[in-house]
Amino acid sequence: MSATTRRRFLQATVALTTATVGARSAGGRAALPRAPGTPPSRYGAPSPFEAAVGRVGFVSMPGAPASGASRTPLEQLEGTITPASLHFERHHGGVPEIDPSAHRLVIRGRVNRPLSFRVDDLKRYPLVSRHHFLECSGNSAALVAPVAVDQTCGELHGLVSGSEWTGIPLRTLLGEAGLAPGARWLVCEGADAGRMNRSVPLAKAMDDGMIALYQNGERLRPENGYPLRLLLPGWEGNIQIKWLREITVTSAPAMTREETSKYTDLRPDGIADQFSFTMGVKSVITHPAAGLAMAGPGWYAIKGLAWSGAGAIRGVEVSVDGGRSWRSAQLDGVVLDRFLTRFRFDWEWQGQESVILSRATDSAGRIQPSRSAWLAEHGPSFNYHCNAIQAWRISRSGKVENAYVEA
Amino acid sequence: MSKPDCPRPALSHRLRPRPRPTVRLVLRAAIGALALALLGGGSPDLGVRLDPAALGPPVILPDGTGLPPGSGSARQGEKIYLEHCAACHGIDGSGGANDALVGGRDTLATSRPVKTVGSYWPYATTLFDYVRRAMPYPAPGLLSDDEVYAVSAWILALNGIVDRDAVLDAKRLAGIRMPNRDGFRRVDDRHPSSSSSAAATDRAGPGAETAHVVGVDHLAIRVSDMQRSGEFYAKLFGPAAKKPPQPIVAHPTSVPSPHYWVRMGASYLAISLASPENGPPGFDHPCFNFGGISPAEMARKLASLNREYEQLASYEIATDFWARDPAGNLLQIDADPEGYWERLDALARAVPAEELDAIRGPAVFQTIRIAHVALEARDLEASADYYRELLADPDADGRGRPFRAGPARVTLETASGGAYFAVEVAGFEREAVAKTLRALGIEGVVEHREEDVVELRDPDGIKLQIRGAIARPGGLGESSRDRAPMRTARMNGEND
Repeated sequence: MSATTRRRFLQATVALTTATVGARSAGGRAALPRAPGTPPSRYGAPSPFEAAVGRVGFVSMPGAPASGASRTPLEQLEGTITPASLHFERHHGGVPEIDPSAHRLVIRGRVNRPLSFRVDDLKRYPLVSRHHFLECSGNSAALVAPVAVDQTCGELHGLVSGSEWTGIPLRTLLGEAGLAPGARWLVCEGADAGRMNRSVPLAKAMDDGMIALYQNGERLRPENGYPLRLLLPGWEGNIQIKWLREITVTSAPAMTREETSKYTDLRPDGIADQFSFTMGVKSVITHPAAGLAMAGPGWYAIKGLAWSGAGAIRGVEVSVDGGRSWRSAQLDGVVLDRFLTRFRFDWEWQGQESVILSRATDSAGRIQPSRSAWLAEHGPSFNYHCNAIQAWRISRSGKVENAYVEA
Repeated sequence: MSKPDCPRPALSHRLRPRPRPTVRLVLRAAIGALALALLGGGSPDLGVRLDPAALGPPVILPDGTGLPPGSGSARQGEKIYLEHCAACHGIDGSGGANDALVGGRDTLATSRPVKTVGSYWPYATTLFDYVRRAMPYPAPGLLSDDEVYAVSAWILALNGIVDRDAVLDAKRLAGIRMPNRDGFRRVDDRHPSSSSSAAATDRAGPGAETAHVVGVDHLAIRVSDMQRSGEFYAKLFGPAAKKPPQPIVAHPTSVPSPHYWVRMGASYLAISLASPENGPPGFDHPCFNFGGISPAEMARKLASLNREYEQLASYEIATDFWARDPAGNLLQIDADPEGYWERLDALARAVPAEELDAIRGPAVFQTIRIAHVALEARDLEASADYYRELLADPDADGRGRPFRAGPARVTLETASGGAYFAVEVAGFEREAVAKTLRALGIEGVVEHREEDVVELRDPDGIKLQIRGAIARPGGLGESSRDRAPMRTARMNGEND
């Protein structure tokens, strides 16, 4: 985070705190406008008072302008749907500008009928809507650092977002093309500058793979793959090819750069796990969290998000004593399969130094591991699929920061 | 049916009496289209059929398939590298601002692994493919195929993998064995659904993993008339590909039989000929895929499990096992998470798809998988014990609580001749499916309302069901997962 952004955050925090305190102590009433406001707008925008809220944690590869990532400011948001404007980004060759009338989706390879689809025709197909999270497998990789880095929740964990996706089940289109003998994998390619490609097991595509056209009710945003992208619920973000242009059905994976030299998980023995698609069970506390200072002792709503690539969230526990004891948090609203679940936990902070943690369990019975357990298994050079428990240390002064604890 | 090849007939065609043969063909196509429409949410079929000649460059596979003609030398590659690559990757392939391409050998098992083309990349074909599609970063596609061969050769030469005088073409590039070729273990590619795939990537810590079935790979049946059954299954589910006589898909005691393979989404149906040696028409065997267990562990598991029953040696391929359950049903078990696909790929390559002799059919259904296999059991408890152990599903009983085999399930039937299987299809609606089957002239179609399936028999009387999705394991409303203990000791106390 740049110094300027950091300052804006702090200003926002201070403003928030003052407002809260003001409301409680003064009981004052806000002034009413003395003139009519602005007229209706064509495409709405957030209040100017929310100008500090935006994507965070921008990184770019040196020498490769427009490649890189930005993150969702998790600590600034509520609920489970991420506004499309704040959905995290990860691009390997920048965001292409694609005219949908010129775009085609081609299905070829081991099929009986190679087919080409126009985007307008795809919109005529029977569509389905599903709520799913999308997480980059490099999310939370900062937890591997030997010393706890001082970052906000969004900077640490913001490579995850939740949306309602609407599109065509992939099996509908594959069924129309007709799978030929030997069909086992799909090699999917995007229409970005580097034509990024990944191999997808056919079974996953047939099971719940989707060609997504809409995100939260509107057409996909360019940075999320406009006009269409692959969606593979619960799997790592990189394989869900954006700006999808071509699906080649093959007998074997193509062993593309992204599934060999990247997005493979090197273990301490020097052997790397490959095709580790599913995202683990995970939770993060979004409040209190770094970037949001405490406003003195009193009642606080600990809240956060939990998700699992293997199913629905079954439970989240919260510890306010550094992991010595745990109590169940309340799961808010409808809990959906492979989607973000909001959890809430009421807490009376006495003003002492505290370490708060959350731990999720999913419907497959899997439990989010502690950081030390995760490191012991994966080793210090494992950059992907980090779902370890992360701790916030709250100092007596009310400062909240990322911390390592033995839990 | 594609638009250019096979235009849909006007409705009136179907009402004419005694159609001529050509019209009859069209009529058959119409029944297929009608059947799809009846399935509710059918298939709009709005794609344009592409001429295979106009498809552009093929995908490059690690065996070299798809590599273009042309060649380039490392010496030529050096000049191209210095012009287009060195600014980001360093003059010698390392020390630049972006990814190092050279060095790092023998560092992967250390605390500071350096992942480069030389130390980490398992296939040289990947280097060609990536450079051609994405490099140089500011202008991908700038280099000709010859230049990409050349610059690939130079990067490999910098790594000492080929000499500096090397010239690479498709054949030579695909023949390179990269130093880290064996440095990967494939952990998740065989999982039929993400919900059942978590175990292999479980991050909950060591010891959390147990062997688990990832699905029904195939079901092998024996029939009395190959052509008749091939046509029957092709009509419903798509092409029945004729395979040369192969012992590999039958049990070790069988004699080679001709085979048809019918793809059923993530599974397939293997049809072989009934004979005095191999047995009468009926089930030959189901094959289960296991993930998260090594062949050695599987051998130990079967050895302990099959003491009282017949245990057949693994056959030809060390990862394939054969066993009989207490009722005498033959089972094939595959426990090779890493080698399985290569083996199938090799088989697929041995018989190129386009040369396959296949019985085609309208393929009324879009298959998703063989979702249910019901096996005969004489002694219910003995069989249930066996499958509880084999399928690692301790709370199931094979009756009211089916065994889980990934997204599929296995049940036990006590009646003689009670074996059957169910095919999960897309857009299932019971009444529409029954109507379609009857319209196709299939007799003995029965709707089971309670289970929401449609039952029918194949020409040999083998019972099968068409059904929609079984509730997703791990999803909401899946009772079998509810049985699994949710909390472990570690989560129980508030004071631990």
